[in-house]
Amino acid sequence: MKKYLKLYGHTFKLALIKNMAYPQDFLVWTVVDILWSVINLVFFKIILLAIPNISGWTFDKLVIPLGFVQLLNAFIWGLMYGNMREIPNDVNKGNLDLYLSKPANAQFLLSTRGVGLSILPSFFIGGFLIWYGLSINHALSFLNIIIVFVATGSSVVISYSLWFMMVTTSLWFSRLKNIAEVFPHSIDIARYPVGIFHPFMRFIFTFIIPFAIFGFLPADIILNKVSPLFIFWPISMAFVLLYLSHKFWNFALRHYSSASS
Amino acid sequence: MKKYLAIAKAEWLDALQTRGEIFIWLFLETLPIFVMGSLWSTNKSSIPDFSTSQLVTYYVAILITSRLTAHYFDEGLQKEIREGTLSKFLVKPIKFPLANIPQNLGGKAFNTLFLLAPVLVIIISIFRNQLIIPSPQILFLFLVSLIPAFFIQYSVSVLVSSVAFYWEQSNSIVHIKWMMESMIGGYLLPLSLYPNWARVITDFFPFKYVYFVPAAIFAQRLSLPEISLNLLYSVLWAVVLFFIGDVVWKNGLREYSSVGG
Repeated sequence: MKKYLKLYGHTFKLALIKNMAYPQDFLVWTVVDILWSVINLVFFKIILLAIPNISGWTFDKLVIPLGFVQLLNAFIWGLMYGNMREIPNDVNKGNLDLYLSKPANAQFLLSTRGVGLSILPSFFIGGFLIWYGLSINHALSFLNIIIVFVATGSSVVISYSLWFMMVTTSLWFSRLKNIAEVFPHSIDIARYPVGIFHPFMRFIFTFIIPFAIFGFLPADIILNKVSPLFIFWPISMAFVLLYLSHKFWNFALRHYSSASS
Repeated sequence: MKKYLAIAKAEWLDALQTRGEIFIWLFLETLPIFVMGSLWSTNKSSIPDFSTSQLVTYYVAILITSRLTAHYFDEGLQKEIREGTLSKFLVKPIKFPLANIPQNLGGKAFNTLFLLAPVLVIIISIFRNQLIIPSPQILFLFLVSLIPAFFIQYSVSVLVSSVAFYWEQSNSIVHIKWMMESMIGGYLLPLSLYPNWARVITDFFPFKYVYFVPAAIFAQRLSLPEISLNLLYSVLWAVVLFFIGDVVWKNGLREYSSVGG
């Protein structure tokens, strides 16, 4: 465990050095990230100028799930995207062997080799939106702050696990280079209450690909719409999916034949 | 002409090579329409001036417009300029960046057949009760509006690419373009839903003629005099931007330098 923490620490240090070597680049991408975050908010504000609520969610309440999704996006685009995107390429070009032959867990190495720090504003904006939502809804309490941390942690693990399982399929379908794009581009669904979808899709987005639990389930708990005990749903799902992603990776490796010489 | 046809054919063959990826693009293209269609279909309260059918139809038109008019060469071209590999295009007996047009058309022919058509079938089957089928006259005007939209997109992409001649971090400008298209072009939301002051701002940019105007024509949101006036403006924008793009590109080329043989 200590070895892996140290390895990840080194990755962060390298990313920091890289970002400081190109401060202008870092600054520009930080501005781009802030602008996208603002556009996301303006988008919902305009919708709610035209209609009073989205499936019962007014803007004051909606900022909480939007904050959760924004926070999750910071992890997805900052910590995961660059790494996930490279996995199908590595399989295709035969570079995967390089990771398999190293004296560390290949899944860990492939998932943590790069960090994008220009996504930091998303992290703070997400945190700010949740705090703002909690404040205006008079829900700022110690228990709710714990729920924020636990729900965010679970969402990150669930997202990672589902996404990793998706890109693992590239070991069979090595030409599907865009497989890594499916998850981050689908995450937009999490910004909408499941109430807007057909009952069948509602079931899918709650239990199979659980976009509903990324933002709206913790917001429901915080706003006392459902029992706090529901927090155990994302926690248990995170553990199960992380385990499954590891098992699926090992299973896929047994069917892997290298592309390199 | 023959050499430009060869470029279009090469792009078609290239797209054919990666046809497996089409399933994933199919899913990703359908997703936003599905989400926005669900959002507006569920909404029971009335939106001033906009029926649910018009909104759902609007997003279908946005998809068609985007598929038929978008240019994606700016990111790649910026990379070529930054890395000095642009030279390989400059020494060829073709007009560059004009050669991007046949290349784009070759890709579009493939995409229309294998991506847009299946996506439309899926979308129409999901939202068959909400969609407005345009009359032949409206359909014709919609297709006409796509011509200036195509050239505006091309010229904006040339301008965005040209930034790379002067600025190392020009990649971020591509994101600024996407933001403009999304917010003031009407890609994310119909501009009719915006407050008046915001709508005035959109009049100063060409982006509304790329997405909003064609989609509003298709959704039968504009009267015949409004369509004529908007088409006139979009042609003017297309001509002006084409010449500005040409001048800026030629000036940029004077700044360009590369190493190697």
